[in-house]
Amino acid sequence: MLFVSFDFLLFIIPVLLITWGLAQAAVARTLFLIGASYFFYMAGPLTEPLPAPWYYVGLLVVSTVLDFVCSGKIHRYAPYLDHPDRAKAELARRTRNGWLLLSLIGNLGLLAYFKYTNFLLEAFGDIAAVFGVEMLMPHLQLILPVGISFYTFQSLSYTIDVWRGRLTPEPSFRRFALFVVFFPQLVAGPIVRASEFLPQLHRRPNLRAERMREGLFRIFKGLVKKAILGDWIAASFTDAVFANPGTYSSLEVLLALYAFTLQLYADFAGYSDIAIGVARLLGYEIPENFDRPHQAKNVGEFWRRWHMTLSTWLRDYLFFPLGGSRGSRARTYFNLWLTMFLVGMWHGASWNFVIYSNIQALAILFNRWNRIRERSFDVHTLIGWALGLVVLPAVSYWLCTATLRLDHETSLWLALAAIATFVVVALLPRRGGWLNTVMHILLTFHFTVLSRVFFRADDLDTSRQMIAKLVEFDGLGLREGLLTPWLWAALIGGMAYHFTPKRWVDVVAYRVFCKLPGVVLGMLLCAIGVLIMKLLSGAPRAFIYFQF
Amino acid sequence: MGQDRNQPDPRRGLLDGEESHTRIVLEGREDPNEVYPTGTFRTVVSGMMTVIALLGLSYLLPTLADAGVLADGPLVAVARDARPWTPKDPVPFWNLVGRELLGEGSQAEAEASAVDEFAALAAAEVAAESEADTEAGPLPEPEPEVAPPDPVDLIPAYRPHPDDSAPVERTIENVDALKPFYAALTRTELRFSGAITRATHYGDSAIGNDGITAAIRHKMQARFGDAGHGFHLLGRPNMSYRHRDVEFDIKSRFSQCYIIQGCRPDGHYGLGGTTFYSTGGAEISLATGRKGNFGRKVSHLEVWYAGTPRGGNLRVKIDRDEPIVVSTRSEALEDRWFVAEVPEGAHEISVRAAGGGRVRAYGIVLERKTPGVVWDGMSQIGAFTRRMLNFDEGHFQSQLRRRQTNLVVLMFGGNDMYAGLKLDVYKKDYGELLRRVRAVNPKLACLVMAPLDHGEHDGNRIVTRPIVPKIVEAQREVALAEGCAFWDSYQAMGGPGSMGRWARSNPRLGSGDLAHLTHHGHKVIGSMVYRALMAGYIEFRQSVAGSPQAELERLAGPLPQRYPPTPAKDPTDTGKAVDTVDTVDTVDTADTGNTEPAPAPQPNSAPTPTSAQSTSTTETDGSSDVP
Repeated sequence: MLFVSFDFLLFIIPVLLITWGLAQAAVARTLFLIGASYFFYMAGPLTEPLPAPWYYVGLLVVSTVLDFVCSGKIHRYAPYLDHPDRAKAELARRTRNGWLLLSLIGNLGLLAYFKYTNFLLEAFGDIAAVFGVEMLMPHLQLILPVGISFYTFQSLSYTIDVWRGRLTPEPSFRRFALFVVFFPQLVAGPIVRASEFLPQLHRRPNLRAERMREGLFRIFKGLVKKAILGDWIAASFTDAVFANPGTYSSLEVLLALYAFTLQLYADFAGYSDIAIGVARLLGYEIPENFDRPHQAKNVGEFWRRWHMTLSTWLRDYLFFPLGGSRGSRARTYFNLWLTMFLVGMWHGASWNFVIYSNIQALAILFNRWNRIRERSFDVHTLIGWALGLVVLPAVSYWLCTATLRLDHETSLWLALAAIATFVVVALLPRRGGWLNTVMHILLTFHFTVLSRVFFRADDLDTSRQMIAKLVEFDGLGLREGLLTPWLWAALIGGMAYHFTPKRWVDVVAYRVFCKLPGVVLGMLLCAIGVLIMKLLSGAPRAFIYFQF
Repeated sequence: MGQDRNQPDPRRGLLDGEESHTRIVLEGREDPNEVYPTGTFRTVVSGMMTVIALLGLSYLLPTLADAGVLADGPLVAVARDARPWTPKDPVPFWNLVGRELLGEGSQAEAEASAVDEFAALAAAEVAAESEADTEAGPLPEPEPEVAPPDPVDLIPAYRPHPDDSAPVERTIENVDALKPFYAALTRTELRFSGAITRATHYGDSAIGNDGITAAIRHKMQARFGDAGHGFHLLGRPNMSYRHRDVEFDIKSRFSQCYIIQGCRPDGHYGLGGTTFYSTGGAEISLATGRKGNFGRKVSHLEVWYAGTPRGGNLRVKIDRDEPIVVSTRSEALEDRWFVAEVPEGAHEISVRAAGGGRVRAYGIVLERKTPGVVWDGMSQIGAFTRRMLNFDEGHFQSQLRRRQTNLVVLMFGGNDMYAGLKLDVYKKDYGELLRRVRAVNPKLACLVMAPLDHGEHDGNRIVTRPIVPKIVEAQREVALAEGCAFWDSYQAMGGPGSMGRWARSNPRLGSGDLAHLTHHGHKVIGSMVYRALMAGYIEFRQSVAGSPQAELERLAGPLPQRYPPTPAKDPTDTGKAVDTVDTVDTVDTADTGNTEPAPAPQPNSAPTPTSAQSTSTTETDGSSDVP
């Protein structure tokens, strides 16, 4: 079900009233919320293409049961790990690892099958072709189950935490089932960990007037972001340009990239706001997912502020277990690369995302090298400079000519641009006055905007067209009627909003919001609803992150 | 306000921190006696009740108005507009309620599969293309060519073709307007020596990437013979300018002036709508295709350029031959052509601005001598129809005349839809464009292709933008009034809402912007146009069967003359400048009805402007030769 839809309004009002009505009946409330969450998952509106049939909910049930059983078994053998009989201890360790492996294979296997099978087949065929073996790879007609990337990570966090001994298993299957399917975050995050949510199910829902207002405020904020800055900009501008970039001018393509950057943030952050707000109305807290990411001063900080629940999940469940930054420098760089590569690849399965993930990962590696370089000058520094000045442009050139099939002149310019960017960012002091801060923010922001080519473009050919458009700037300007004044206002206003101090909204606007009586809020909500209907002709678009 | 030492560095990255260890024990139960403070739900519930009340009003007021209880005023209109759901919308919770409980699933799935018809068509086209590609060689020649018969010989009866059995989705209106084209095509099919049938296809992004044009070209050439790729620009005015079946490489870019920019005051943009400039160093190469069945051979090459008072040199190099330097200097601005004949086969021509002044050039033509079809793709991405009027009329017509084209196809309208145009003005502009085309030569046929369907969201449906049928109707009206044929692309796609269906098909035929087609969609439309053209062709052939051959000449004019190669100044002096080459036609065929071009001028002869119009533009050009 989509948050910005009439269906959700019909759904949420009775769900809230019944949940509050069951305040004194913990079991009934939990069971009701489980039922409501399954209904939310199965009863989506009619969309194009058709939504997945309701019985895909079976995968959710399988995931829930699998992790509950596995973690129970893992915990059962925990006491034997320190058994004086080494054979028993070893058996316990193996058994626990076996159950963990089963959970990992079960969850990640389903995710890999539905999300990555076709890409892996395609990649295999492409790689074979490089070696002169032409293979006609099959393409499976798979429907990606909604939210599988989210609930897989969510339920895995539980099993892994139990295996690491950082969480005792949930004794109640009822509570565990609610943790996995809790509808506000079920289909598009934030990714809630067991350690964050399950303890809340052992307490009464935290319902107070203040939290209700906070929840409502988040819903309002999310609606405006999601529907106006997210859906409307997409429907009115960016979708058209990304569908056929070749038919638009360079300036239009560039503008579409900026617009998409805003749209993507608004879409996802708006959805997360609504999810957090709805959860608060139900008395639960789910984690923040965004922290004004485009105010970041470097790429590492950007990923700490963007889709925080995913990036911190991979940090805690992959980067740290791999050794984090405690090993050798080479090992640390490998850990960094792998983690960021997987952060990128989580978003999609295509060669585009392979490139996108590597760009982000290399930026993180550069970020780390640059900070170490400031502290000492040694072989590590020299290697970095050599890589930046020789290997980076060479790889850029190769990527442009061989993969993106750009002409040699364009590729050469891009390689030179890569060197220039490397040098400028490396030599720019990390700290300084406001101008320095602005420079860092602008560089990080534009890095993000430009790398979004690979994130949004449907395929490599589209990416190539867009990059060529940007490099071979045609100077054709903007065509008449493409952007209306209202759309300009949304783009400029939305972008400006992102760079305002956070407290302007979270404190000042919230203070004003709190003074409004419920009746006015109801009227405001209806006004926003009508505006959304008018802007989108009544067609809420599917949330971008659903496809992940 | 100093930073707290205990606060983490706000610049710290995602992976900069250290791992923290905490252990959480899941235990405890809710306290059933805990009560919520008074007023906990007040704000939310009152807001909720307001929403419910307003929602109720949005349904109640129109109902009362419909029942005659209430006057139908602005308030009712607002309420009617504000209803979030109406009975024509899908039932809420459709995936469960509508799809499963109300049994709408099969119907929705059937509707979803309705697009399979087009998808199957696309799949068949793509499969045919793949099969053809695997053969990886030039098309076999249909039959040996024959000498043109005497005018009194009779036109043979039409011989059926395997493609004839395919159903025609949409026929051409006023198909008689295509008789000159069909007459030329008849001579081509009968394999008369020199019988090349040319079509010059202009359009906006709908034909970008050489999609629809290549699809038609392939169909026509597979049936009538491949007489070459045709016209190609000297650069890419935009990134969509990518032609199939040729290898185009920009070694160093020419500056350019694209017609939609209105950057040439003299209106001399060249046949393809873009003029290229360089004072030296710019270089491109164009070669025959290396894969696929089409465009693999060439025997006749032309470089289209302008002679200008301060013109520099063009260095033309064919394969590994010694380069020929062509001087583009002339007393006045004029259209010129460098022509070369080569043994039939795969070749590469490179054109370089070789200094000595600023060269101004338009494009390259790749052709063969064998009877066949040439279909020029002339996409003007981003162009409103009226941008075609940026051409100087005399220049535009002389370029088309020199091309000896038999058919001009126009497919505009996609951008006009977004321009807030007035239909009267639009029709006037379109009519003017068609008049200019018609004035080239009465034996030049013209075909207007309506724009593709353009969709927009309406609730859960994708509907046609209201402007689409209006533009289609305007184009039909103007085309028929000006004596052109008309093909309704919009109705061929399926009419209202068709772009939505095309965008949902698998393989996808319509792109996500609901305004353009995918590669597969191009092939489907190209095939539809081909079948529509052939339906008219069969009719024509049946109507002229048994008539004297002179009828073909009466309709299409004499067989096109092959322009002779440009001689070098001195055969032993290759690498030196050739002062002049084939200049603009000197016979105004518009008056005489004669398509035969004037003989090419002798080497070193002074270029001669064709008409008062050309002369006047020459004067303009003399003062400004810079875009």
